Amino acid sequence: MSVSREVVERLAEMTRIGLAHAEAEALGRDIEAILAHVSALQEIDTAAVEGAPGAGSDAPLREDVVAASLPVADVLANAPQQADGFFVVPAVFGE
Amino acid sequence: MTGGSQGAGYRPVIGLEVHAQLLTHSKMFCGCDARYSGARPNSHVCPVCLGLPGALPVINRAALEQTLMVATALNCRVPETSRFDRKNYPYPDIPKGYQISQYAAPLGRAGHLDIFHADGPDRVGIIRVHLEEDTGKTMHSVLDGRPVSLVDYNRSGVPLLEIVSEPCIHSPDAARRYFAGLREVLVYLGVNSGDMEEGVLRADVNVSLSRGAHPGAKVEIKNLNSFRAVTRALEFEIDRQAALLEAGGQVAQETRGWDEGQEETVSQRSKEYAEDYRYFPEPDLPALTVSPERVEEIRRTLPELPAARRARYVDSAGLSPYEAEVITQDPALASLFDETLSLQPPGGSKAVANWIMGELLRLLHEAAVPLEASNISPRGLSGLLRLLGDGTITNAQAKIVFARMFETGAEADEIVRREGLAQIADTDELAATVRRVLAENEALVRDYVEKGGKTEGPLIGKVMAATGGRANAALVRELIRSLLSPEATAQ
Amino acid sequence: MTEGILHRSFLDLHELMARREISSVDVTRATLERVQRLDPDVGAYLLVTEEQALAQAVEADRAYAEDRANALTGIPFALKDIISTLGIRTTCGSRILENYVPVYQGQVAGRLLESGAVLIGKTNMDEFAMGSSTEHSGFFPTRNPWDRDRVPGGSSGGSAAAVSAGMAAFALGTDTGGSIRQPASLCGVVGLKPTYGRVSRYGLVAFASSLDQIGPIARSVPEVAAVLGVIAGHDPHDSTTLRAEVPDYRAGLTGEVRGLRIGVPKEYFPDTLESGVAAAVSQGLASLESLGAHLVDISLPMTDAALSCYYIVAPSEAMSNLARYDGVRYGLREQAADVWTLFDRTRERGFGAEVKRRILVGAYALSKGYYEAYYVKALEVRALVQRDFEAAFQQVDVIAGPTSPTTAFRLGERLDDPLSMYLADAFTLPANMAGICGVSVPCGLAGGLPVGLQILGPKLGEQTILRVADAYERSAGFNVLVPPLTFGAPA
Repeated sequence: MSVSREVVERLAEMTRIGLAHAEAEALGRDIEAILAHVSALQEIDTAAVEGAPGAGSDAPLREDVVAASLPVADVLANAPQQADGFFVVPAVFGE
Repeated sequence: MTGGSQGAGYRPVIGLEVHAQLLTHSKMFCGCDARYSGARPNSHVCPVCLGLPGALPVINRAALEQTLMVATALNCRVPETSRFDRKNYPYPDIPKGYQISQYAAPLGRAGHLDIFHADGPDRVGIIRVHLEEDTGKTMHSVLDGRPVSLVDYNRSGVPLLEIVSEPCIHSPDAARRYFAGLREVLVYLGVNSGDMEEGVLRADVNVSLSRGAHPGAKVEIKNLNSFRAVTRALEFEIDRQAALLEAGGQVAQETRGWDEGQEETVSQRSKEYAEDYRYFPEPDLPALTVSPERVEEIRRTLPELPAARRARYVDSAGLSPYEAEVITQDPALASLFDETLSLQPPGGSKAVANWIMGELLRLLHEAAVPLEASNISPRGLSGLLRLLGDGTITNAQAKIVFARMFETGAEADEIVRREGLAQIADTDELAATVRRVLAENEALVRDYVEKGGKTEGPLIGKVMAATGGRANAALVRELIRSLLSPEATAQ
Repeated sequence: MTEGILHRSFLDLHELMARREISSVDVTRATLERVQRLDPDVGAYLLVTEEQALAQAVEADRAYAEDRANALTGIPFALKDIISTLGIRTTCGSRILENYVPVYQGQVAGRLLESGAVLIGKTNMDEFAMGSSTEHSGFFPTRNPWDRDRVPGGSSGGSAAAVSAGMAAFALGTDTGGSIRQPASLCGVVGLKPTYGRVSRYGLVAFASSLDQIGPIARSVPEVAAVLGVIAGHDPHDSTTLRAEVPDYRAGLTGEVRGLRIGVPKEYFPDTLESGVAAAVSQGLASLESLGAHLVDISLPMTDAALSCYYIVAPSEAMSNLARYDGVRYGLREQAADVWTLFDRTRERGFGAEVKRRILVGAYALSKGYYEAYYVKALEVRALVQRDFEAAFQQVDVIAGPTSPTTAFRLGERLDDPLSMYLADAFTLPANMAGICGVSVPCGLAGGLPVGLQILGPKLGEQTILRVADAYERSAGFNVLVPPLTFGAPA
């Protein structure tokens, strides 16, 4: 189980976490150790398990009735930047 | 020209992923009003659809029911257990950083849709039908001289159906027909408004060019929201790929966008892992259980779909395929047809079809309103046809009466009575008028007599004009003939 | 009023308030003074809500005067800062939410405030509940009131320390892998992790949604039972809550354990278990036996596997749950010219090392090519962990053993070794994997530090485990362990 700096950087980009090189290397070592530990799972025979357990079955359903939304002021109360009722972010370029 | 690519031995292989907003009152996982069109930005938002820390989703029953209707109508298998998954990808208009969608266990699988076509029905395989939540909207703007994106979460969490076809479509036109056919089904089921301009129906298309047994690289074009865009984007892309291949190049497997203005597809550079959505079962929602009995009940209560309706109109109502198609293009129109027909004596289908396709569509078009907004009811149209059938009114009068009905919603016989439009079928009254017209039109009479009665048309027209169109044309003709007969003139 | 009263059961305080012998304002003021005096040395609180607390106390006294008080009315309590409180900053121990103020009320906070309990403040925790020592707080570590060079455990270390030091009568924590029971053990207080779904998570900032559960921490079992009765129950906002009736947990505390079968799993007594812990726990088990319970040797073979499984499942869910902290809608934002750099910088600066570690592990386990081997495998093993317990509960009524393999460790001791930190949860996290309930009750001291006895029960077995814990607590003779506070300004 080798987790190279490149792999860490790829994971970091996927999850949008900026990482300094040094940090990526340290994290790579930690992740490698964790993965080595959890690799014990591969030894366990799970052939008898049918269907992975989820959050149970028979999800409750909500009736299709409109309920009050938040006041716009509350929606934007924690916004780092806003204008005319919109959340504002620097331009979404490409990707 | 797409013909060129096919000539070179390439065969387009096309699949569509259609996204349709469901017509629920509230959003997919919260009680916010799902009808956000025209609303103030971020005014239809709550902790759930804003993705506030700690908020949790609860499934909207109506969204589930509507999805089951679509899955059933598209002949899908509905498994007893399905569930939601998280599709993880960062984007400013995805408030949780993931979209609740369905991946491994969708609500519908392995169905098909038959598309009406001049050469017989085309069957398009449906891989899956699943339910998810729509994203917010990002708009580009400039603030203090800097390019910014403005984010509105009103659309976030609106229930969205995704219908994925098999890659079994082989021309842009067939793709358009499938998209239109799907739209029709959704509108018929009452689960989507079909209003493409509002963006309630969008398609992602994927297309590759295969040659013989060799499949080509698949290119996906995202977010096409009109039939024209689907056709044009596919035409452009097929030509582009064919030209690339013919020049000895290779088609890159990628996602492209459609530039409406330039009418071309544009590469959207993305890293390979940008599409690694890291799906896993949504832990905040238990699995959905849908019993086979429930599915059967939905199947039983489905409204008649356009394809079946069309077949019925052709086979039992005796309409032409063209008439059947025109009338079924709008479920309201087809219902009007069916209900009017049920109030008519047998054999009246052609007349009903003619009125709907002729006068009604013309008036609707002129007024630019949907049928629902007009005053025409099955009872009204049926009443008009009865007056026409028993000779109370002429065809010309009927058109006037129909226009009044359209405007006011009054019954045909009431309009006829009120406006004195009943046809003059009294021989004495009409004979007097004919005599007067003949006396006033000596030249025409002379012409009629000289040509041995072959020019009665102009005289009939004069009589009709004199009676304001209320005269029974057959009776007028008879009166002219008898009054101008050699025996009569000899006297 | 002397501060001594602050170590009495709040059920007694309630009686005194009902008899008007003391007032909630007195108790609240005394508590706030104690916090002011001790907390600079403990660091249990991230925020003290003094003004609101006094206002609530006044309201509580009015409720007593008007005879509409219940057992929690007027009682000072604390909430782990992962539980959303309307209008009160909720940081989750993270810089990324340093200034986040919820605009909606979380379900349990609402229930407690409606019952008239008085919120003293929000307690410190490992960032996003990821940790077992509270050293991973984004702000400062909390110290163990028994020895300030040692950790209080975690992640609900602030809640456990506050209760232990008499800075709150009770507190709520959250338990994802032991985060209530382990700090309760290390601080010498009682902590209960309810059955998954027993208490609503609506408003609980998610770490690992399929494992997280809110539960009470107090100085005695009857107090824990009283709080559970208020916070437990179905919530339509949380689709994973159970519909089962909420019993009167206090009424079930009969002190009777005769004939009860207590399973003692050999896996919970490994060679590496600290000898002092082993001795205290064995003594605890012996006293239960002397009360008439039967000790049964059992095996939970999946205990080790549960740990590995946990470190796949929890980070995977966390990766997704924490994706929403992107600086767009709330929380920290680092400036950047484009939104992607903004995301990267905000999350780089806002998250601590442990959070980043787990997010990356989660992304790894769910990414293409690894999903089956890691995530799916972990879910399968999770099913086996559940079966382990199901099989055990066929044989025994409850399972008992140590809560933590060690007493409180020194600050910094395990910080650089994530794996050794993870081992602190080896005996607690299997219950989370299986969704069952568990309670930690003090069972003496080892080297002057508290040891906890853990009692696990089947799903919805809260009444039984509380009965056992209560019977033990009564027989042990130390109803409350009071830390020998050797710090703080004089009272």
